[in-house]
Amino acid sequence: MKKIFRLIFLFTLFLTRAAYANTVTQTTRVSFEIEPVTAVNVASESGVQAVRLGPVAPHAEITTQSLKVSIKTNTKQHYRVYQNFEGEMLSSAGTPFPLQKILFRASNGEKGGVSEAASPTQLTPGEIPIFTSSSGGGADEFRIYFVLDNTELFPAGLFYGNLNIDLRVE
Amino acid sequence: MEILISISGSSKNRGIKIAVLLAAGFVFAGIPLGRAQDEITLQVSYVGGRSSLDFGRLRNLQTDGTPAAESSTRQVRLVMEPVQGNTRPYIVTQIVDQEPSSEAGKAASSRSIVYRVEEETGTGTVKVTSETPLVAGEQEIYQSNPQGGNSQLLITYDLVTTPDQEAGSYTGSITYRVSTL
Repeated sequence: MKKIFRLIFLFTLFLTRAAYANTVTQTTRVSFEIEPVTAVNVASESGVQAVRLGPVAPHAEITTQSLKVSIKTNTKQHYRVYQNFEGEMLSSAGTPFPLQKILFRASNGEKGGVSEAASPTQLTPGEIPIFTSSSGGGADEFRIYFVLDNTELFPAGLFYGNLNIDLRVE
Repeated sequence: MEILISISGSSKNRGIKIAVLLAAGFVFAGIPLGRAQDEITLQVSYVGGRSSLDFGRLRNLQTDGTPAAESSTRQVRLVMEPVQGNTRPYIVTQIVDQEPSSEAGKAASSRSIVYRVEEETGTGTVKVTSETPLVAGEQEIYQSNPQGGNSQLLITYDLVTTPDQEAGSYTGSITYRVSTL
Protein backbone atom coordinates (compact mmCIF):
# COMPACT_ATOMS: atom_id res chain seq x y z
CA MET A 1 0.00 0.00 0.00
CA LYS A 2 2.83 2.36 0.97
CA LYS A 3 4.47 1.77 -2.43
CA ILE A 4 1.25 2.56 -4.20
CA PHE A 5 0.91 5.85 -2.36
CA ARG A 6 4.51 6.69 -3.15
CA LEU A 7 3.92 5.97 -6.81
CA ILE A 8 0.80 8.13 -6.82
CA PHE A 9 2.74 10.95 -5.20
CA LEU A 10 5.61 10.76 -7.70
CA PHE A 11 3.16 10.60 -10.58
CA THR A 12 1.37 13.67 -9.22
CA LEU A 13 4.71 15.45 -8.94
CA PHE A 14 5.48 14.56 -12.55
CA LEU A 15 2.08 15.78 -13.67
CA THR A 16 2.47 19.11 -11.96
CA ARG A 17 5.86 19.62 -13.53
CA ALA A 18 4.49 18.80 -16.98
CA ALA A 19 1.40 20.93 -16.51
CA TYR A 20 3.22 24.10 -15.42
CA ALA A 21 5.58 25.18 -18.14
CA ASN A 22 8.22 27.60 -17.04
CA THR A 23 7.28 31.15 -17.95
CA VAL A 24 9.17 34.42 -17.73
CA THR A 25 7.69 37.81 -18.59
CA GLN A 26 8.77 41.42 -18.95
CA THR A 27 6.56 44.42 -19.49
CA THR A 28 7.46 47.64 -21.27
CA ARG A 29 5.72 50.99 -21.51
CA VAL A 30 4.67 52.32 -24.92
CA SER A 31 4.26 56.06 -25.27
CA PHE A 32 4.13 58.93 -27.72
CA GLU A 33 2.82 62.45 -27.85
CA ILE A 34 0.82 64.28 -30.50
CA GLU A 35 1.58 67.99 -30.67
CA PRO A 36 -1.46 70.29 -30.40
CA VAL A 37 -2.13 72.35 -33.52
CA THR A 38 -4.91 74.84 -34.21
CA ALA A 39 -4.97 76.74 -37.49
CA VAL A 40 -7.33 79.24 -39.09
CA ASN A 41 -7.54 79.59 -42.85
CA VAL A 42 -9.43 82.42 -44.49
CA ALA A 43 -10.27 82.56 -48.18
CA SER A 44 -12.71 84.51 -50.34
CA GLU A 45 -14.93 82.99 -52.99
CA SER A 46 -12.13 83.50 -55.48
CA GLY A 47 -9.72 81.67 -53.19
CA VAL A 48 -7.57 84.63 -52.18
CA GLN A 49 -7.32 86.15 -48.72
CA ALA A 50 -9.19 89.35 -49.59
CA VAL A 51 -12.66 90.80 -49.72
CA ARG A 52 -13.21 92.82 -52.88
CA LEU A 53 -16.41 94.89 -52.82
CA GLY A 54 -16.61 96.52 -56.17
CA PRO A 55 -16.14 98.18 -58.49
CA VAL A 56 -19.10 100.10 -57.15
CA ALA A 57 -21.45 102.05 -59.37
CA PRO A 58 -23.65 104.65 -57.67
CA HIS A 59 -27.04 103.27 -56.74
CA ALA A 60 -26.25 99.94 -58.33
CA GLU A 61 -27.26 96.63 -56.83
CA ILE A 62 -26.00 95.79 -53.37
CA THR A 63 -22.61 94.14 -53.52
CA THR A 64 -22.06 91.05 -51.37
CA GLN A 65 -18.86 89.11 -50.80
CA SER A 66 -18.05 86.32 -48.37
CA LEU A 67 -15.04 84.86 -46.65
CA LYS A 68 -14.81 81.18 -45.76
CA VAL A 69 -13.18 80.64 -42.37
CA SER A 70 -11.86 77.12 -41.76
CA ILE A 71 -10.63 76.05 -38.35
CA LYS A 72 -8.49 72.94 -38.29
CA THR A 73 -7.41 71.53 -34.97
CA ASN A 74 -6.52 68.28 -33.25
CA THR A 75 -7.54 69.54 -29.82
CA LYS A 76 -10.88 69.48 -28.05
CA GLN A 77 -10.48 72.93 -26.55
CA HIS A 78 -13.24 75.51 -26.72
CA TYR A 79 -12.28 78.56 -28.80
CA ARG A 80 -13.65 81.86 -30.05
CA VAL A 81 -13.00 83.65 -33.35
CA TYR A 82 -12.59 87.43 -33.45
CA GLN A 83 -12.76 89.89 -36.31
CA ASN A 84 -10.50 92.89 -35.95
CA PHE A 85 -10.76 95.76 -38.41
CA GLU A 86 -7.67 97.93 -38.20
CA GLY A 87 -8.26 101.67 -38.42
CA GLU A 88 -10.00 103.03 -41.51
CA MET A 89 -10.53 102.28 -45.17
CA LEU A 90 -8.61 104.88 -47.10
CA SER A 91 -8.08 105.66 -50.75
CA SER A 92 -4.59 106.20 -52.15
CA ALA A 93 -5.33 109.91 -51.85
CA GLY A 94 -6.09 109.46 -48.16
CA THR A 95 -9.83 109.87 -48.48
CA PRO A 96 -11.71 107.82 -45.87
CA PHE A 97 -14.58 105.52 -46.81
CA PRO A 98 -17.69 105.53 -44.56
CA LEU A 99 -17.20 102.19 -42.81
CA GLN A 100 -20.75 102.11 -41.49
CA LYS A 101 -21.90 101.46 -45.06
CA ILE A 102 -20.31 98.04 -44.93
CA LEU A 103 -22.35 95.47 -43.06
CA PHE A 104 -21.26 92.00 -42.10
CA ARG A 105 -22.67 88.87 -40.49
CA ALA A 106 -21.28 85.43 -39.67
CA SER A 107 -22.98 82.11 -40.28
CA ASN A 108 -23.17 79.23 -37.81
CA GLY A 109 -20.51 76.56 -38.11
CA GLU A 110 -20.92 73.35 -40.03
CA LYS A 111 -19.75 71.31 -37.03
CA GLY A 112 -21.75 72.88 -34.23
CA GLY A 113 -20.06 76.25 -33.76
CA VAL A 114 -22.34 79.25 -33.21
CA SER A 115 -22.29 82.70 -34.79
CA GLU A 116 -21.92 85.67 -32.48
CA ALA A 117 -22.76 88.06 -35.30
CA ALA A 118 -25.80 86.45 -36.82
CA SER A 119 -27.51 89.74 -37.74
CA PRO A 120 -26.04 92.28 -40.20
CA THR A 121 -23.76 94.55 -38.21
CA GLN A 122 -21.96 97.73 -39.22
CA LEU A 123 -18.24 97.37 -39.66
CA THR A 124 -16.41 99.38 -37.03
CA PRO A 125 -12.75 99.67 -36.14
CA GLY A 126 -11.60 97.29 -33.41
CA GLU A 127 -12.13 93.72 -32.40
CA ILE A 128 -15.38 91.88 -31.88
CA PRO A 129 -16.16 88.18 -31.35
CA ILE A 130 -17.97 86.68 -34.32
CA PHE A 131 -17.96 82.92 -33.70
CA THR A 132 -17.69 80.48 -30.83
CA SER A 133 -16.94 76.79 -31.09
CA SER A 134 -19.13 74.01 -29.78
CA SER A 135 -18.34 73.04 -26.20
CA GLY A 136 -16.11 70.22 -27.42
CA GLY A 137 -14.06 72.47 -29.71
CA GLY A 138 -12.80 70.69 -32.80
CA ALA A 139 -12.58 71.60 -36.46
CA ASP A 140 -15.32 73.74 -37.96
CA GLU A 141 -16.09 76.03 -40.89
CA PHE A 142 -18.23 79.14 -41.28
CA ARG A 143 -18.65 82.16 -43.55
CA ILE A 144 -18.55 85.90 -43.01
CA TYR A 145 -20.76 87.83 -45.42
CA PHE A 146 -19.95 91.46 -46.24
CA VAL A 147 -22.55 93.74 -47.80
CA LEU A 148 -21.93 97.20 -49.17
CA ASP A 149 -24.96 99.43 -48.79
CA ASN A 150 -24.69 101.12 -52.14
CA THR A 151 -27.61 103.49 -51.87
CA GLU A 152 -25.69 106.75 -51.84
CA LEU A 153 -22.92 108.35 -53.76
CA PHE A 154 -19.42 107.49 -52.54
CA PRO A 155 -16.20 109.36 -53.26
CA ALA A 156 -14.32 107.94 -56.21
CA GLY A 157 -11.17 105.95 -55.56
CA LEU A 158 -9.70 102.60 -54.62
CA PHE A 159 -10.13 102.03 -50.89
CA TYR A 160 -8.15 99.61 -48.77
CA GLY A 161 -8.41 98.37 -45.22
CA ASN A 162 -7.05 95.52 -43.13
CA LEU A 163 -9.18 92.87 -41.52
CA ASN A 164 -7.71 90.26 -39.17
CA ILE A 165 -9.41 87.02 -38.19
CA ASP A 166 -8.00 85.67 -34.92
CA LEU A 167 -8.72 82.53 -32.93
CA ARG A 168 -8.24 82.25 -29.20
CA VAL A 169 -8.50 79.10 -27.14
CA GLU A 170 -10.51 79.70 -23.99
CA MET B 1 8.44 29.16 -5.99
CA GLU B 2 9.93 26.03 -4.40
CA ILE B 3 7.96 23.56 -2.34
CA LEU B 4 9.61 20.50 -0.93
CA ILE B 5 7.69 17.73 0.75
CA SER B 6 9.68 15.04 2.43
CA ILE B 7 8.50 11.49 1.83
CA SER B 8 11.61 9.65 2.90
CA GLY B 9 11.55 10.66 6.56
CA SER B 10 8.31 8.88 7.34
CA SER B 11 7.74 5.23 7.29
CA LYS B 12 4.10 5.49 8.12
CA ASN B 13 1.33 5.27 5.57
CA ARG B 14 -0.39 8.19 7.25
CA GLY B 15 2.48 10.56 6.42
CA ILE B 16 2.52 9.43 2.81
CA LYS B 17 -1.23 9.82 2.56
CA ILE B 18 -0.95 13.39 3.83
CA ALA B 19 1.79 14.09 1.29
CA VAL B 20 -0.32 12.72 -1.55
CA LEU B 21 -3.29 14.74 -0.44
CA LEU B 22 -1.14 17.87 -0.18
CA ALA B 23 0.31 17.32 -3.65
CA ALA B 24 -3.13 16.77 -5.12
CA GLY B 25 -4.30 19.89 -3.34
CA PHE B 26 -1.49 21.92 -4.86
CA VAL B 27 -2.42 20.59 -8.30
CA PHE B 28 -5.99 21.77 -7.93
CA ALA B 29 -4.87 25.04 -6.37
CA GLY B 30 -2.61 25.70 -9.36
CA ILE B 31 0.65 25.73 -7.40
CA PRO B 32 3.52 24.15 -9.30
CA LEU B 33 5.59 21.54 -7.52
CA GLY B 34 9.06 20.35 -8.28
CA ARG B 35 10.18 23.50 -10.07
CA ALA B 36 13.43 24.58 -8.57
CA GLN B 37 14.36 27.53 -10.79
CA ASP B 38 13.58 29.31 -14.02
CA GLU B 39 14.42 27.24 -17.05
CA ILE B 40 14.99 30.17 -19.34
CA THR B 41 15.95 33.82 -19.06
CA LEU B 42 14.57 36.74 -21.03
CA GLN B 43 16.40 40.00 -21.53
CA VAL B 44 14.63 42.98 -23.08
CA SER B 45 16.65 45.92 -24.35
CA TYR B 46 15.83 48.97 -26.43
CA VAL B 47 17.91 49.78 -29.48
CA GLY B 48 19.38 53.27 -29.31
CA GLY B 49 19.92 53.32 -25.57
CA ARG B 50 16.32 54.06 -24.66
CA SER B 51 14.60 52.89 -21.52
CA SER B 52 11.15 52.24 -22.96
CA LEU B 53 9.20 52.21 -26.21
CA ASP B 54 8.87 55.99 -26.38
CA PHE B 55 8.21 57.27 -29.90
CA GLY B 56 8.63 60.90 -28.87
CA ARG B 57 6.65 64.00 -29.83
CA LEU B 58 5.05 63.94 -33.25
CA ARG B 59 2.72 66.01 -35.40
CA ASN B 60 -0.38 64.91 -37.23
CA LEU B 61 -1.21 68.42 -38.51
CA GLN B 62 1.04 71.01 -40.09
CA THR B 63 0.93 74.51 -38.62
CA ASP B 64 -1.53 75.50 -41.38
CA GLY B 65 -3.82 72.61 -40.41
CA THR B 66 -3.08 70.31 -43.33
CA PRO B 67 -2.61 66.63 -42.38
CA ALA B 68 0.94 65.53 -41.60
CA ALA B 69 1.75 61.84 -41.37
CA GLU B 70 4.91 61.84 -39.26
CA SER B 71 6.58 58.56 -38.48
CA SER B 72 8.86 57.20 -35.79
CA THR B 73 10.56 53.82 -35.50
CA ARG B 74 11.69 52.05 -32.34
CA GLN B 75 13.26 48.64 -31.90
CA VAL B 76 13.27 46.15 -29.06
CA ARG B 77 15.66 43.25 -28.75
CA LEU B 78 14.66 40.08 -26.92
CA VAL B 79 17.36 37.64 -25.85
CA MET B 80 16.27 34.17 -24.72
CA GLU B 81 18.82 31.95 -22.99
CA PRO B 82 17.81 28.58 -21.56
CA VAL B 83 19.63 27.77 -18.34
CA GLN B 84 22.27 25.09 -18.53
CA GLY B 85 20.86 21.66 -19.19
CA ASN B 86 17.44 22.81 -20.31
CA THR B 87 16.62 21.57 -23.78
CA ARG B 88 12.92 22.23 -23.78
CA PRO B 89 11.46 24.21 -26.67
CA TYR B 90 9.81 27.51 -25.93
CA ILE B 91 7.51 30.07 -27.46
CA VAL B 92 7.60 33.84 -27.27
CA THR B 93 4.33 35.74 -27.00
CA GLN B 94 3.74 39.45 -27.29
CA ILE B 95 0.82 40.62 -25.15
CA VAL B 96 -0.56 44.08 -25.78
CA ASP B 97 -2.04 44.71 -22.35
CA GLN B 98 -3.27 48.12 -23.33
CA GLU B 99 -3.25 49.82 -26.71
CA PRO B 100 -1.81 53.33 -26.50
CA SER B 101 -4.56 55.69 -25.46
CA SER B 102 -4.76 59.35 -24.50
CA GLU B 103 -5.33 60.79 -21.04
CA ALA B 104 -8.97 61.16 -22.07
CA GLY B 105 -9.08 57.42 -22.71
CA LYS B 106 -9.26 57.64 -26.48
CA ALA B 107 -7.28 54.88 -28.16
CA ALA B 108 -4.87 55.75 -30.92
CA SER B 109 -5.84 54.44 -34.32
CA SER B 110 -5.29 50.69 -34.26
CA ARG B 111 -3.29 50.88 -37.47
CA SER B 112 -1.04 53.68 -36.28
CA ILE B 113 1.58 51.25 -34.93
CA VAL B 114 2.71 48.21 -36.88
CA TYR B 115 5.49 45.79 -35.98
CA ARG B 116 7.56 43.07 -37.53
CA VAL B 117 9.81 40.42 -35.99
CA GLU B 118 13.21 39.24 -37.18
CA GLU B 119 15.34 36.45 -35.77
CA GLU B 120 18.87 37.72 -35.29
CA THR B 121 20.25 34.50 -33.85
CA GLY B 122 18.72 31.06 -33.40
CA THR B 123 17.06 28.46 -35.55
CA GLY B 124 13.46 28.81 -34.54
CA THR B 125 10.41 30.00 -36.42
CA VAL B 126 9.22 33.58 -36.55
CA LYS B 127 5.44 33.59 -36.43
CA VAL B 128 4.94 37.21 -37.49
CA THR B 129 6.62 37.54 -40.83
CA SER B 130 4.93 40.67 -42.18
CA GLU B 131 4.01 44.06 -40.78
CA THR B 132 1.18 43.55 -38.31
CA PRO B 133 -0.96 46.15 -36.53
CA LEU B 134 -0.33 46.42 -32.81
CA VAL B 135 -3.71 45.61 -31.33
CA ALA B 136 -4.76 44.52 -27.86
CA GLY B 137 -4.39 40.83 -27.13
CA GLU B 138 -1.87 38.03 -27.36
CA GLN B 139 0.17 37.11 -30.39
CA GLU B 140 2.66 34.27 -30.55
CA ILE B 141 5.63 35.74 -32.34
CA TYR B 142 8.29 33.01 -32.15
CA GLN B 143 8.81 29.33 -31.54
CA SER B 144 12.22 27.91 -30.83
CA ASN B 145 13.50 24.76 -32.43
CA PRO B 146 12.56 21.49 -30.64
CA GLN B 147 15.82 21.53 -28.67
CA GLY B 148 15.35 25.05 -27.35
CA GLY B 149 18.66 26.89 -27.44
CA ASN B 150 19.62 30.54 -27.43
CA SER B 151 17.85 32.98 -29.69
CA GLN B 152 17.68 36.69 -30.24
CA LEU B 153 14.77 38.59 -31.77
CA LEU B 154 14.57 42.14 -33.06
CA ILE B 155 11.09 43.64 -33.03
CA THR B 156 10.66 46.82 -35.06
CA TYR B 157 7.72 49.10 -34.28
CA ASP B 158 6.70 51.80 -36.77
CA LEU B 159 4.36 54.56 -35.67
CA VAL B 160 2.68 56.80 -38.25
CA THR B 161 0.44 59.60 -37.06
CA THR B 162 -3.06 59.95 -38.49
CA PRO B 163 -5.17 63.13 -38.73
CA ASP B 164 -7.92 61.69 -36.53
CA GLN B 165 -5.67 61.47 -33.48
CA GLU B 166 -6.26 64.06 -30.80
CA ALA B 167 -3.36 66.00 -29.39
CA GLY B 168 -1.97 64.73 -26.10
CA SER B 169 0.07 61.98 -24.49
CA TYR B 170 -0.65 58.38 -25.38
CA THR B 171 0.50 55.48 -23.23
CA GLY B 172 0.09 51.72 -23.28
CA SER B 173 2.02 48.60 -22.32
CA ILE B 174 3.36 45.45 -23.89
CA THR B 175 4.37 42.27 -22.08
CA TYR B 176 6.80 39.78 -23.59
CA ARG B 177 6.29 36.23 -22.34
CA VAL B 178 8.57 33.26 -22.87
CA SER B 179 7.11 29.88 -22.02
CA THR B 180 8.83 26.53 -22.17
CA LEU B 181 6.72 23.76 -23.64
